[in-house]
Amino acid sequence: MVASIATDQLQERAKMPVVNREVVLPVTRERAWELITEPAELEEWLGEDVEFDASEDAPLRVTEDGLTREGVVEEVADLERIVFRWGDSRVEWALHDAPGGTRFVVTEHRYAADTVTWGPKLLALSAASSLCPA
Amino acid sequence: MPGVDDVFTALADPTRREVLRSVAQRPELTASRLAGELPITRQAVAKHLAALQRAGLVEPRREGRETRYTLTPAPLVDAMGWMADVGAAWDARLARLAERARAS
Repeated sequence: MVASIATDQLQERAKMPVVNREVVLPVTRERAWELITEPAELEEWLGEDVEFDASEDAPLRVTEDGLTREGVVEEVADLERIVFRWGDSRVEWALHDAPGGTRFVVTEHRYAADTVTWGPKLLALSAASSLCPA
Repeated sequence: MPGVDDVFTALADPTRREVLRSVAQRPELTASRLAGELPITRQAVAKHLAALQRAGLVEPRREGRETRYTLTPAPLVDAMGWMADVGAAWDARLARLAERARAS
């Protein structure tokens, strides 16, 4: 029994070794970029208290439900992509054109010493699951 | 005590996932049986099993000249718990973001 449960879990794991979510926002790319980079906007959805500057090496601090995470912005490509570290994780935010607006794709995986080598492989393996706004 | 990071690192290699899948399907598998079934050398199998053991994912049991390996699923359950928690947090954030986008 244990073995068959574990096999199911393993198959699930092989498909989704990282957390991957996406949503289509009914706004332009420019507006979507504001929503994900301006602290006043981030405080509407990411956490109640957000210090965030979309420039490389900028420190960030997000308090969400009383829990504070600190990190640093690692990569910024205007209107396209932001990669940052927070807590024990690395997060990538990406914007893509989509019918009806802009697709926002989030990928989070645990940060480890060798993330640089295995990160992209995990990203390639991860399956996206969609959250569609009604 | 291996953590979620060790599990993710161990599972980042596709061949290693294949080895773990074989062990999960047939408990008490030996390294030589595995080498016979997978297109990799006995030495490679031993290396992968050692990595899986470090991550706490398999447990060896010596029997005569052979070592038999069994899956120990607890670290896998921890890693899946991390993914479930992080996923639920993003679901909530993206729902708020979508609402904000619609309002703007």
